[in-house]
Amino acid sequence: MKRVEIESIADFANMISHDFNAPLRQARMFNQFFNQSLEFELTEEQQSYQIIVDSNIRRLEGMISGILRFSRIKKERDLTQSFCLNPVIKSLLQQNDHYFCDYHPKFDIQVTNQEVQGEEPLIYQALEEIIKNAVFYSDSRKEQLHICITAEMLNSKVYISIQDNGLGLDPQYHDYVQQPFKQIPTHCEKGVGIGLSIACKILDIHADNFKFESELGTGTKISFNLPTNNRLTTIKI
Amino acid sequence: MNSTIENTANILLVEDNPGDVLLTKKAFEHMRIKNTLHVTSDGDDALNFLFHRGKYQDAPKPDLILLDLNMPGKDGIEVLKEIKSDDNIKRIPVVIMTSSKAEQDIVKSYNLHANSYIVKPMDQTQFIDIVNAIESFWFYIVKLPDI
Repeated sequence: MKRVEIESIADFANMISHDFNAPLRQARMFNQFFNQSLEFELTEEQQSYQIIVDSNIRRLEGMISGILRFSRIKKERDLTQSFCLNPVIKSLLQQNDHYFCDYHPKFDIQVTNQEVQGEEPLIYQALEEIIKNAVFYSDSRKEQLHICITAEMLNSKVYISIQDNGLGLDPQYHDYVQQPFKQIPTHCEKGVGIGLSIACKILDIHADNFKFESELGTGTKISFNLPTNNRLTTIKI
Repeated sequence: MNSTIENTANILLVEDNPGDVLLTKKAFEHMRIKNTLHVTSDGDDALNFLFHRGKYQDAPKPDLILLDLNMPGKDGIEVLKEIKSDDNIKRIPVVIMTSSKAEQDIVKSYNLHANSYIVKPMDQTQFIDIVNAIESFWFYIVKLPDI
């Protein structure tokens, strides 16, 4: 068997994730078999231990998949490509509808038809992570979850912002949560804590002026801008 | 297929990890057709089985091959290449069963004429669903040549 050349962090992450999956899969499945074989003999407390084991294994799976996605983010910015934001946002909301519908979000979308320069799949990925966070970290005490997505053109740049009226985050934690897998106890219901790190990494490299603004109780606003090539696209939404 | 519905289906599993062998065995117990799962734990052994070499002189010709990709020694891709270049065994459906989701592995496998590519599931219920799907597809729906 040929020795595999590891040319990048992505190759390495690919390799380890594969090797981690085997023991994880077996741990998870044999735990399920174990649970099934003892179904009627376990106390409620013991059953809860089984659930903790299973959920930790699933968390590990999520973290490994997060590492893979994080490591695959391209480090070189490509400004030769351009795309329109409207179809990206429309597609993103359609693809995630089944995730979002339980939270009943109201999206207010005002996005220019101006084409922006950058790689569409990367910006899609960043926007998806940001919007997912806006939905999942919503405040159930508020009557309606509002998410405002705007993209305005000014001086050869398109200024993009995603603002929500969700839980918000105390400024002392702003830098902390942008790191991979870091969540704070009141804000860790969903996922493994990699989404915002992925969005930040992408936007730090592939966009300009990334800003994260958030206040506990008020909500969060994430903004960045992208250069334009001064081409307008007529899109029917 | 040689009247498999009446007889036993012979399935060759090529898998080096004993835990995964056990999981696959347990999943295939849910198959409705009587089946025998023959296990070889590396590429060379798998080819010995298929070419009736050494202790495998009387080994049956499998109706289906489940092939892992990452194995020490001869890996799954090399085994696939040899199977699909031999006139006697190239028609046996080969289902790649691997933990790799990597696009390059999928492309490589289909380039070498793997019949299908399945990523090993992380959950027992999913695995049973997959086995049932394999059974329905390869043993009931499709037509395979008699030899």
